[in-house]
Amino acid sequence: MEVLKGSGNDPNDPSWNSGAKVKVSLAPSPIDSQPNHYIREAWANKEYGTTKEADVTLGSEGKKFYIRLEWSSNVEKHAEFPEAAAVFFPASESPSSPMTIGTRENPVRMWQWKNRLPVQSKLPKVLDLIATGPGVFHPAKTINGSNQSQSLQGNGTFEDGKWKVVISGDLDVVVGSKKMGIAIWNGANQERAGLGAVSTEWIDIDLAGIGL
Amino acid sequence: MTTTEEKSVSELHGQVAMVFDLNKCMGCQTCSIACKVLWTGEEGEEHQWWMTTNTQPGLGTPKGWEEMGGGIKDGVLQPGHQPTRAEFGGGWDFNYNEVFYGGKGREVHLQPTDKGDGTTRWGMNWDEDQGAGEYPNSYYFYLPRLCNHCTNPVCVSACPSGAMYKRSEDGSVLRDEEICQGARFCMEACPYKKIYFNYARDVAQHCILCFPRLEVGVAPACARQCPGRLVFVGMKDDKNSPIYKLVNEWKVALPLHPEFGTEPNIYYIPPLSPYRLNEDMSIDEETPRIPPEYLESLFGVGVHGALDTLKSELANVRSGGTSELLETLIVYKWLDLFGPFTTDPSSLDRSPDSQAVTLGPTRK
Repeated sequence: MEVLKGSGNDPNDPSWNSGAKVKVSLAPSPIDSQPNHYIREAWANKEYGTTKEADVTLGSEGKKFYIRLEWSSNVEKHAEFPEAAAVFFPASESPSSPMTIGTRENPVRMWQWKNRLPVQSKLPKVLDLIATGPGVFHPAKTINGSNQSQSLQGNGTFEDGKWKVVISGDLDVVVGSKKMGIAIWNGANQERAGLGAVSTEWIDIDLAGIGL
Repeated sequence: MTTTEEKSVSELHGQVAMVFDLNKCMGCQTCSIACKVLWTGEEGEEHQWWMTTNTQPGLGTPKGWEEMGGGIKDGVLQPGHQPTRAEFGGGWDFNYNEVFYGGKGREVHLQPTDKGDGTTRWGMNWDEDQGAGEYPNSYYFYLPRLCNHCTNPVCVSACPSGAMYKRSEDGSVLRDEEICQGARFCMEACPYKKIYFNYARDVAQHCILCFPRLEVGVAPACARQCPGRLVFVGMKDDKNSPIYKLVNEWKVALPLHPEFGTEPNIYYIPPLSPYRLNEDMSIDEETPRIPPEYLESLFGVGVHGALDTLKSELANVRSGGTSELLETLIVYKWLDLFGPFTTDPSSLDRSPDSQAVTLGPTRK
């Protein structure tokens, strides 16, 4: 997937229209891979990971990498659980399926945006996480040997039944991985932790367009 | 006087347990307030009461918690309902400005501000003193509740991120709030529904058994502040402690809802009650006013033996005998309640460099 030169943290910036928009298929993270017995039992017969697809556009400026995600949603209002989206990058050169959002052997670096409540204004909009399975997310700063936690940015808007979100972080992470997965959580359906919809295939990132 | 040095954290190992004697609880909420003042005074904690005392029978807090599922049955974790903010209720804002400064003091009365989210329709002690039964045989009693710091903590089992753990020093069930991602499976899985959600910080929170106090030999705030001398604290396996004797020897201290399967470490001496009155106001000495089946629904079948023991010990003393059990429950010496945790917190070094400075919240 090609990377646009420029763009930025505003998902409604017209410059995003000049980038290649790729439709990515999503599916529920497997129930058998959920991290504990409680979640596997409680959600065995419930529908989750209900977002079917998302449009992805990539951009880069300087040392920053921008990911714009767009998906249909039936709810703007903040439910008990927030609408959320994430991009994640495998550290391994031969990662297993993205559907589990990392494994213990092959962790992924995850940048997760959450639609924050007004009362959560002091919290970061995007979390820098290390994921080793669906819902097994730890703040990168708490993992020994991980890179320094980054100052990530993100913005989300909801209009005409669609969420448009930009997540941005350090280009270095992308250069080191060159692959990416995405995940969407439909908060109104109580989706959180490992109960999201995840890209069924890794997205290959072509950095040639930005001279890398 | 016990010294801090004698009770350092390195000496702690095992399970701290508590026994609440419901025959002495007067529902004064001093335990609740002691906890509230110490631990839940920050933004996002307004509605949180890690310690609550509710009138039984009643719907309690959160509203109808006993019917919300969770726990373990036949070795299998049971799905549970995540209590909503409205089911907890409370954490209200009041119309102080309107009443005191808006010039409407004669027209409006002080009341919680209705935000349309249902939170003004319930609270931590909403159904106080309603109880059950028909006059003159109406009845109620008080039930103080906190996290049970269970031996089988299903909250820990249900947490996907590994933020929750049970520590070996004192058996307290804790959460690393740096790791908690706010997924709230703990709230679903806990059958006692004693876990709250902090919306401002996107983390779940619950009673921490006052572990920073335990580490320096001080009893949990709910126990130490109780004016009724009804809360015993101690190491569960200390055979010389009142806890061990009440639970294992006399078998008068029982866990709440043992059928939930999590092996709670908070125990209760079940309430005795007056006999029922007949229609002609004569006393029916065969029938206690609190229905035994109701107490069995709370404390399991062991409640009948526990009440029989209490009654026979009472009869023994009334006829001139002595009872070690009753002597223990009377608590002639206040500090006898607290096992190894008798240190007076005011005697501790509270300077910035001291360990004891962590007796209260440290995050800023």
